[in-house]
Amino acid sequence: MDKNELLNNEKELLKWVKEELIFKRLNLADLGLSVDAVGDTTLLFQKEGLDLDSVDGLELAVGIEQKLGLKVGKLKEDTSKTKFATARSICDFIRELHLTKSMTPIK
Amino acid sequence: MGYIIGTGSYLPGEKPVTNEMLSEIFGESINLIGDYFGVMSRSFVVDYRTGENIGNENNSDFCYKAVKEALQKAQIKTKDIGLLITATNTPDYSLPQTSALIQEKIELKDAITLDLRGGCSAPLQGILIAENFIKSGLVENAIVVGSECFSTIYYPNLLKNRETFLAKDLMNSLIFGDGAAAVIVSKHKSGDAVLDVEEVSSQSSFADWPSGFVVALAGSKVKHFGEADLSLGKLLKHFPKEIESRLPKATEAVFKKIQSEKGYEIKDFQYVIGPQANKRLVDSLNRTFKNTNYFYYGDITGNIPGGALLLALDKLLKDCQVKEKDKILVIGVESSKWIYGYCILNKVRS
Repeated sequence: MDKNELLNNEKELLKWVKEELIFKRLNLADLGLSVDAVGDTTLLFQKEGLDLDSVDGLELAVGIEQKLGLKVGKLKEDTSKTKFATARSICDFIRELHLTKSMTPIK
Repeated sequence: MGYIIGTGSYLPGEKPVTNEMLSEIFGESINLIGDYFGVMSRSFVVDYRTGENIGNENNSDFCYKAVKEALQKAQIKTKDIGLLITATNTPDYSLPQTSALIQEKIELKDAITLDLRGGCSAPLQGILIAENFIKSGLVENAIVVGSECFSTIYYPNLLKNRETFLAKDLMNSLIFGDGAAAVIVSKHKSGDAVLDVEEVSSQSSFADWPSGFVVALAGSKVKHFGEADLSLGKLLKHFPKEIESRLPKATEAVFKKIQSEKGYEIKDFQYVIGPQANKRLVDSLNRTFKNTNYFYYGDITGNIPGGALLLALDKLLKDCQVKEKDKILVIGVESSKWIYGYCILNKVRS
């Protein structure tokens, strides 16, 4: 599925975020997890959730830029806890980036 | 007992490779990494456009050039060197020793040669050993050289995967750099920039802490560190939570040791050369080094673990007006087994 189809299909975007961006890109299978461990609202960076680290946050940002051609911009300390808190909040963040369009597609 | 009587350094490539130059190849995602870690450039022996080692230089060549400059500054002859110590994590070979390769390049006939591998702390271990060899009377002059050559290992792979790279591939390629720096430690107080080695120490006290960083050999199976197969391309593994929480703790512990054993406060030092890994980690040391003249050079050179502290010392002496009686504190903490060390240097008249 190309980036425009993903960006215009909420359900498919959520599926891509959970399965490709989070599960595959972060190699969660190496930690013995299955794709079902990533729910829509699973806390990604909290101990009670997946307990991801700061480099995982960078990985998500690079993945969004690479696949969707959106510029994430400078990552702040709280980005992981807010924008990247759950798969659903990542989808909201992606749509926000897409809609504002001030974030022009990257090269 | 001993003195540092000369320093030298070498960074390969025509000029530092900036994030802007790299964004032409990898897109603007480079800036995510650069901004996050505060690394604005690095020196690469490989051409950043092709990944080829055009100058055909390697780690021992960097060392040779740094040593040559240090010898020149120290105004001593190569034959007067009795001990040659290297500190690197990315040697040309497992064998022969890097130190013996440099010995051959500088045409040093007889010397004791030692290779150390202790991450960012290894140069301090080197100075500690050199000091004790001098104290014991075994040698009068020693070379300690720290270096790394990362780009030949990681950068070509990153170029091959320029469309699909992962953030960790970018990190391994771009927060590290290539280069070397050397110091001449001597019994005699001669040369153009003499530093009295008031104190040097290195200890491993936190080996039971979880590692923050691992460099594996190609093909290693390292279950111990939670990775099934650290094969080529996955040789570096970072454990960010451990680094972020333990580096400040370890550094604070080292400084408390200096306070309690030596009676110094931070204000007693005109310059502090602390961990150089990246700006993000340097900022995390604020609690220990607040209001100090912290000399950080890693934003330009990238992280060169084995060479970082000596590169910063060499740059400090070249760029800053270090005055007689100024006191320099050098602190190193490496994050694979948290080995640490420190060195207190005083600028003295030649």
